[in-house]
Amino acid sequence: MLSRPYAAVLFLGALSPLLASCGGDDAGARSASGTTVAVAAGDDSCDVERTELKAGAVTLDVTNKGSSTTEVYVYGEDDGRYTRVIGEVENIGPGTSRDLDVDLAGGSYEVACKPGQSGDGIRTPITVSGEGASSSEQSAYDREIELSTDGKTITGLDGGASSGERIEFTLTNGADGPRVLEVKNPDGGVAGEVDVEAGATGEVVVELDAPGTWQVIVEGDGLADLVAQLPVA
Amino acid sequence: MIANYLIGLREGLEAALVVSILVAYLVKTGRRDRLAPVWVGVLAAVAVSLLFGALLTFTSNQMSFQAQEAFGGTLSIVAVGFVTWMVFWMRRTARSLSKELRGRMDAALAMGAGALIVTAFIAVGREGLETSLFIWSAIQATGQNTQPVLGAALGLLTAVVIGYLFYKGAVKINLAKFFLWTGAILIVVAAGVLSYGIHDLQEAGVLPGLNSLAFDVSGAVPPDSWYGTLLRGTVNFTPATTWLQAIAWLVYIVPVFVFFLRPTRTPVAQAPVVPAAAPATNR
Repeated sequence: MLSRPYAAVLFLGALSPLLASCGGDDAGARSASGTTVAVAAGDDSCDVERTELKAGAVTLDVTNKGSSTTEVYVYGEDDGRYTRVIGEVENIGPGTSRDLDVDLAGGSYEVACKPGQSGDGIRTPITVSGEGASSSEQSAYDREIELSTDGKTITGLDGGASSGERIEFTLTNGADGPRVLEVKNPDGGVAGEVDVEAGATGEVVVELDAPGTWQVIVEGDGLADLVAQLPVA
Repeated sequence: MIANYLIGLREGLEAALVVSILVAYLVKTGRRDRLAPVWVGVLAAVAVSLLFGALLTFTSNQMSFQAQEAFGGTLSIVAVGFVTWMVFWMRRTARSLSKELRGRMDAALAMGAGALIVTAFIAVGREGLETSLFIWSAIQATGQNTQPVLGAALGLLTAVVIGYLFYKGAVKINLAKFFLWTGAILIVVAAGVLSYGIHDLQEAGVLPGLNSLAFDVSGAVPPDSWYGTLLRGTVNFTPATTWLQAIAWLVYIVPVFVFFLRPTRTPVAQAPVVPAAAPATNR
């Protein structure tokens, strides 16, 4: 016969990994500072309330307004394709809502709704600005643009680029003080930046995710910005 | 309503199948006194799952996607271990029964008592957290719409009814067939659970190869169709299966089946005994 204490021990034993996995996630702390974005998932639509976000904790509040079961993914970029699963919530039945909590570093992502729980889904690109854009997953690039500055001009930027290219910008700092290399998208948003000490070389990888005139800027403390333009077709 | 019903059915089916086999086995071998641990395991899993689902749904507590997938994937692989153990435990008992060596069977059952709780707990708890998150979201929606919670409840209820009918059928067939068929079913279920667990770990980024698919038949077997639901709910068939999943499935199922079907060695008597071949006359 099974004794009661035996059962209790087994019960608690089975419980403990659950408790551990929940507590180890600094639960609660993240939701206070996080952003909430509503996602309305239909049978053939996927409306993401906002597509420009700040880096940090993001909660996608997904409501299934369609008639088939859906699931929602956030994909990060991997070798130029959005295949790396950052977060996923499945089994969102018609008429129900689920939260998808993700921690997003700066960079570009795609939100995918998958009505019928299959296929590549209906994709919406989102852009996250802020720190973390130079994490290891972001380091792959298509080509390099080597820049240098003497403190007065930027050299090395000739010609344009194509939309969708991932470019590593390197700056060799020949000026007499530290400089910041900054790349701005056509909307004026900072797509990437790196601090470069005098005499050193720094690099930053930027995905040219929209056509238009991009700006490459070299900033120094208390100095006027040096600006060069990069037309992106 | 239908879609929510199918989710409930799918999430409940596999657990209902494993538990009904466990119960049928104990009833058939005359060990109804061992049913209590099974129900303890089932109820504990349901309670724990609902509790944690509620915590995650109604408080600001969060579990990251990676943690949730890693948890589900690990639990799945643990479940494979327990179900495999169950298959061979039942098989050993079948052998003992055939020789009327009751003492040995009692020994096996004594050892199995604690493991019975855990097996039942894991069988139900494996998908328990995900199911409970789904149920709580359906309950949350009842303010605007009662269809989701109704569909989910009816789906789970159908899974339980199917489990019950399966049990009814299983206790009727003779013991030799019972051990052979339930063993085979459990092995196929366990292989599916392994493949599913691998996929969870691939999604969590613990294992590689999420995007290299061995095959994708989502067109022919839509995951939200009733037959897709049944295939997924019973043998964990995923229409889009990665190479790693397919390989793990084969690497598990082939040797386990070979081992399961090999002729039983007979340490006491010389008479050849086919696995579970001798029907017990008075059980």
